[in-house]
Order: sequence, then C-alpha cells, then structure tokens
Amino acid sequence: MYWTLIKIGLIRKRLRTFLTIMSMFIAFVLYGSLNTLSGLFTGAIQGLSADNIIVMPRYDMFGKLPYSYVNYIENLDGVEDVMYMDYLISDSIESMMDGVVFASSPNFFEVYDRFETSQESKDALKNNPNAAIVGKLMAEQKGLRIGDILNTESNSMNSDGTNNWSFEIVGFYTAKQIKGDEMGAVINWDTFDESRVNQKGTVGMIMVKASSAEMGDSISNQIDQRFMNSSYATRSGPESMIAVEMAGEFADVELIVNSILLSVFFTILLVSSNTLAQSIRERTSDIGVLKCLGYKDLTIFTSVIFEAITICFIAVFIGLIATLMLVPAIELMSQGLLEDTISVTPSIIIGGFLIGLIIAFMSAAVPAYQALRLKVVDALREG
Amino acid sequence: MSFIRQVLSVTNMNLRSILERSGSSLVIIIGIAGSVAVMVSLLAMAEGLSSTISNTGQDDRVIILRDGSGSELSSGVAMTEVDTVSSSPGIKSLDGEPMIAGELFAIIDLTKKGADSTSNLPFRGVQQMSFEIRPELTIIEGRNFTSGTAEIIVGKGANNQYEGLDIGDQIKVRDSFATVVGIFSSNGDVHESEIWSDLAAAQGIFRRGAIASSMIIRLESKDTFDEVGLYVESYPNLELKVQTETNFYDNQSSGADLIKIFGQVVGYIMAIGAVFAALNTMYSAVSTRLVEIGTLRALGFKGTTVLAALMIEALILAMAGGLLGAAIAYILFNGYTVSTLAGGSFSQTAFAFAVTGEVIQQGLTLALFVGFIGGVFPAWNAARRDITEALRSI
Repeated sequence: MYWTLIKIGLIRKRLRTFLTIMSMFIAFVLYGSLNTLSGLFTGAIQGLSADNIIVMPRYDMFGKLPYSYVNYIENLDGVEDVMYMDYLISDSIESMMDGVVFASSPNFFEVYDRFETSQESKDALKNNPNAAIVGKLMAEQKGLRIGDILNTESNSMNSDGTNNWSFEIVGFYTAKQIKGDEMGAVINWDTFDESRVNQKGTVGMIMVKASSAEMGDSISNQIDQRFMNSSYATRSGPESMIAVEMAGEFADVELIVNSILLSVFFTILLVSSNTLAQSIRERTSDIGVLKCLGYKDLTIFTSVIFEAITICFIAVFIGLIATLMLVPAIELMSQGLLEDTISVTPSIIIGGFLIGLIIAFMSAAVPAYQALRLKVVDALREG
Repeated sequence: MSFIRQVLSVTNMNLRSILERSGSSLVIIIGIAGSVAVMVSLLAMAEGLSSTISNTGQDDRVIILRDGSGSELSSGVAMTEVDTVSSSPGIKSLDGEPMIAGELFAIIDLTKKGADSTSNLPFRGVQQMSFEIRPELTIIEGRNFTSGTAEIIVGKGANNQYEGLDIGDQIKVRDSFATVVGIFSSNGDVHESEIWSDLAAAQGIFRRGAIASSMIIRLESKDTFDEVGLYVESYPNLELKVQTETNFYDNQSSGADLIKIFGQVVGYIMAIGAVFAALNTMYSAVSTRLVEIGTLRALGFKGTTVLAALMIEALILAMAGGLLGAAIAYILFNGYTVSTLAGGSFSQTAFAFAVTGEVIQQGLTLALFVGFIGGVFPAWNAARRDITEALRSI
C-alpha cells in the first residue's frame, strides 16, 4: 500500500523528480569527492610511524645538523638504532615532486620500516658505494631498470664542480601506505658526503629507533634539551607528530576551502529541499482525496515522508557511485602519487545517507503535516 | 519593432508576477548566488596569492642565486662574489655606487596569532642599498633599523599574522634577541610577510660569516639584463645563476594555479547542480502559468515572443543571483588576509583575497550560463505548446 502511494508520488511529475534528484546528486558528488580528498592529509599522517623519533633542524625544515649529533644520540639510554640521511634536493616543493634522493646511512631499511626492499638490494647498496635503490613508482615512471644509471641534480656541488650526480641502480623499494614515497631513491650518505664540496659532515634528518615506545618522549626531550642553545637546535618527535605540525602550516587555506565548500553543499541542498517541499505543498488536494477514500493520516504522512527519503537516497546513492568512479580518475591524474592514500570510507557513505535522511525529513515533514491538518473539504477546495 | 514591444510587455507581466512566486524565484537566485559566491571566493584567493607573489618581481631587477639552487633558502653567495658582480656593466648606479645588494635569507619560527604551535616566517638581512633597489618599500610605523644593531623591521603582513611583532617587542632569534623598531609595507608583495634586519647583524645571528643567500640588482633598464648575464657567465669561477625577479617569482606561484583550477572545477560542478535547480524552477514557473501563456497565444502573441520573454525572466533572475553571490564573496572576503605555506621557501606568505573585476566577471558569466540553460528548455517547451491544450489545463 505504501509502495503504491510512493510510486504515484514519484511519477506524478517525472521531470521534476528527475531534476530534483539530479541537483541533489551533484551536491552529493561534491560531498563525496571533497571528503575523500580531505582524507588525504589525515590518511597520509596515519601511514606514518608513531614509534620512530625524527630529529630535524628546529628552525628550518630542510636545514642541516652536524654529523656529531648521531654519535651523541647513539649513546643515549633506550636508543636501539640510529639512521641518518640527507637530501640531494631540498629547496622547493616543486623540485621535490620529481623524486627525492635520500643519501642515507646503511641501515635505512632496517630503521625506516615503512620502506621495504629485498635482502639482495640491501647487500648491493652496502657493497657498492655508487649504488642506488629506486622507488617502484619512480622506476615505473622513468622506465628505470636494474643496471641503469640514475642521473639526478642536486643543490650540492659534486667534486667535479657540477651539480650533476649519477648512481648505479641495484634494486627497487616499495613503501607501505604512502605511494608518493616510492617517488624517490636511496643512496649511500658516505659517498655523497665524500664527494660534495659544501656542507660536508652534515645530515638533514636523524631517525631514532627506541628500544620501547615509552622511551620515545624522554629521548626526544633529552635531544632537544641538549642542543637547545647550540647553533643547530633540534626539533624531535614521532614522525606522525612532526607531519601534523607541517600540515598545520597549510591550516589557513585548508580552513577556508573547507568552509567555502560547506556553503556550496548547503546551497544546493537548500534549493533541492525547497523543490521537494513545494511538490508536496502542491499536493494538498490529492491528500484530501486520499483522506476521503479512507486512508489514515499516519499512512499518508508516512508515505509522503518515504517518498522524500526515496528521492534523497537515490541522489545519495548515485552521488556516491559517481564519487567511487572519480577516485581512480583522481589517482590517475596524480600519476600514482595518491594511489592507495585516498578512498571512500564507510564513514563518508554513512554520513551521506544520514544527511539524505535529514533533508528528506526537513523538507517533507512540515508541508505534509500542514496538508493533513486541513479539513477534507478545505483540502479539496485548494486544488 | 512590434516584436520587441510584445516581448517587453510579456516580460513586464512576468516580472510583476515574480513577487507572487517569490519562493520558487528565490530558489533560482539562491542556487546561482551560492555557486557564484564559491567560485568568486576561490578565484579571489588564487588571484590574491598569485598577485602577491608575482607583484614582487620586476623586470628591471635581477636576482642572482648559486647555480643549482631553486630558492634563496638553499642558495649561498660569498660577499666577495657580490663585489665581483658589482663591477658588471648594465647595473644602474646611484651617486656613483652600483645598485647591488647581498641579502641573507633565513627562516625563523614564531607563534601565529591564535595558534598553539609555531610557524615559519622568512628573515632577511639586507644592506642599505636594498631599500634603494626596492623603492616600493616604505616604513609605515616607527623607524628603520640602525645598521650594525640587532634591530629589525617587520612587514605589515607578518605584523598582522604573528604574535609579539609590534614596535618595542623583543623576539628571540636563534640564541640572540632582536628588537622591533618599525613596520613596513611594500605594495602588498611577499616581503610584507618577512622580517628585515641589517645584513651584518643577520650574518652574526645566523652564524653565516661573510656569506649571503642571494644578490639583488637594479638594472639600468630591463634591456641590460643580458649584459649582467653575460658578465657573470663569462667570469671565471663564478657558479651563479642570473634571472629576472619576475621570472624568479613567477616560478614560485604554482600553488596559486592549483587553487585557481580547484576553484573553477568546483564552481562548474556547482553550476551544474544550479542548472538542474533552475530548470526545475522554470519548469514549474511555466506549468503554473500555462493558462496565461495559452491566453496570450490566443490573443495573438507569437510563440517566439513567449520564448523570449521567459528567457529574459530567467536571465534576470540569474543575473540577480550572480550579483548577490559576487556581493557576498566581496563583503566576506575582499581584503581578508590569510597566510599559507607558499612554494619555494617553506615559509608562510601572507596574502589578501582579491575580488577583482575579472574574477567577478567570471562569476557573472557562470550565472548567465546557468540562467540560459535553465531557462531555454522550459521556455522552448512553453512556446511550442498547443494553444487549446494549454487553455484546457484550467
């Protein structure tokens, strides 16, 4: 019985039903895709380790620390292993998009367990000073194979007076969770430091593996305290915490974009719910007829509400389907950088349907109730 | 002539009845206002950021970095190299002195107003000539720093965004202290987000010795760029890269392009949603007026007249929505200052939203487009209706 009433309501004005669904559909495509994209920041941060402690220059994200810090940190209580690295290019976000070359201590893959490679590759890196292990994504994009020469530019001048560096590719690595990390290469710090002309004996970042997670805080504090007043002050903390701080640098813009988008969404919803409400207001005389025929108030009320819910849910459903189809397109456009980092999470889906439900109620309940309260004769006279 | 008069009288009738149908007309206006407001705001943000960055650059100024460096942060030039370059031809001279200055660029962290943690902002050590090279820089409050002292002047943007940068305040930079003695403006460019001090003092604070980050030069005219370029290139053992300031800053504004594309994509997607809403409203506007339309046709008004009048109605509503949206964006955001991590320097650049004529024009074009698409189908439909059928719907 409900279904008949709902069906009649939906096909009463097919064009209007279609247009209402379409405008809401657009709102939910925006809802779905923007929420998915905003998961980018948080998603990337979740992929980072909370156990490993990062030590970096306090004032300048890509400044340098003296190598002697490594020796000091190695001797602290609770430190199991220390990895250090420098970057060949580190002066602008644009130049780093093309791939970051890490000049690292030999234990890179042991400490930085988000990065994985085979034992043979690790051995090859240790035995060949000129070796490089290249990220899978970078290898795919540049068509690199084992035995190829990796040519790269650096801010650091080589001993031959140029900024060009080349390394022999001995293997590939993969990165867990953050696909963008595969856009890079790992080489030996010793080789790099020996050949560079300036800033010899410095590292860009030190990573500490603590013997237990509880030791983390005290180790970070100890390091920061020790170097607080030196000319190379440090900022230490779990990788995830440092990343949250860096993301905070974008905060202003992110906030504005989010609030603008929120207003987008509500505009479209306001407009659609008005249309939904109007279509019910127009039906006052129909409701009078139904009452004449003996339909109970509650039955009519419920069917009108369900009709609105049906419209909203169809819009949510196809909106989220469209989002699901958009995600691979976005991943493709990012050239693999965002692969596996963005996804339509269950909370986005549930949120969408909840919003649909609320809109259906808000737009249908009041006009339906008003129509029901009218006396049958008045309701019939309206038409 | 009579066609125009007919259209005008029918339009007039339609517009008078808009008030009676205020609810559904508002739907069109609000829907379009929302899309336009969003697009205008996002474009104004991109416009503000990109004009802040590219305003900084001028064609007759040259910036010289170490070869291989993409930004001042990673660059280093010795003061002796500044001396060498200063004898290059093509540099404008002021009272016999070549207009060239070595500048040190470093990053310090301070707390933004209302934030818990610190953010990066640029610290620039400059020479007296730097002020002559950049005449747009003026002290708007307090005074300039005295050479050789730990005094600093603060850009207007930095002063707005950070705590403890008012005149008389002392800030800790590395392990020294510096006192704010003045606030400067520089035409809304990136330098307004910076802190400036004397070069020698900055070299002391950051322990750089006789090293600067970059050189800035004012050319005799923009045509003498090649003379400087050739001189530096052919001079033995100078590993420097010469580029115009315009070129340098244009390369750093890619973040703004991203925001612009984002704003346009979101604006267009929203516009599609607004098209559906407008179609819906116009269809119902037409259906409630079928009898009127039938009557008009019976009186001898042509179908094209009805079509034109309905289109004008839709476009007027759309324009009203567009103007409303642009006004909302303008009132809320024009001149609103925010800061973000800009490409290039890994430090915060403050910029103001710029709701320019061009941006508003883009928004209004979008509004008219939505109005056109939303109006044309229902109007076409109404104009083609059979008269008898339309009248029967009484």
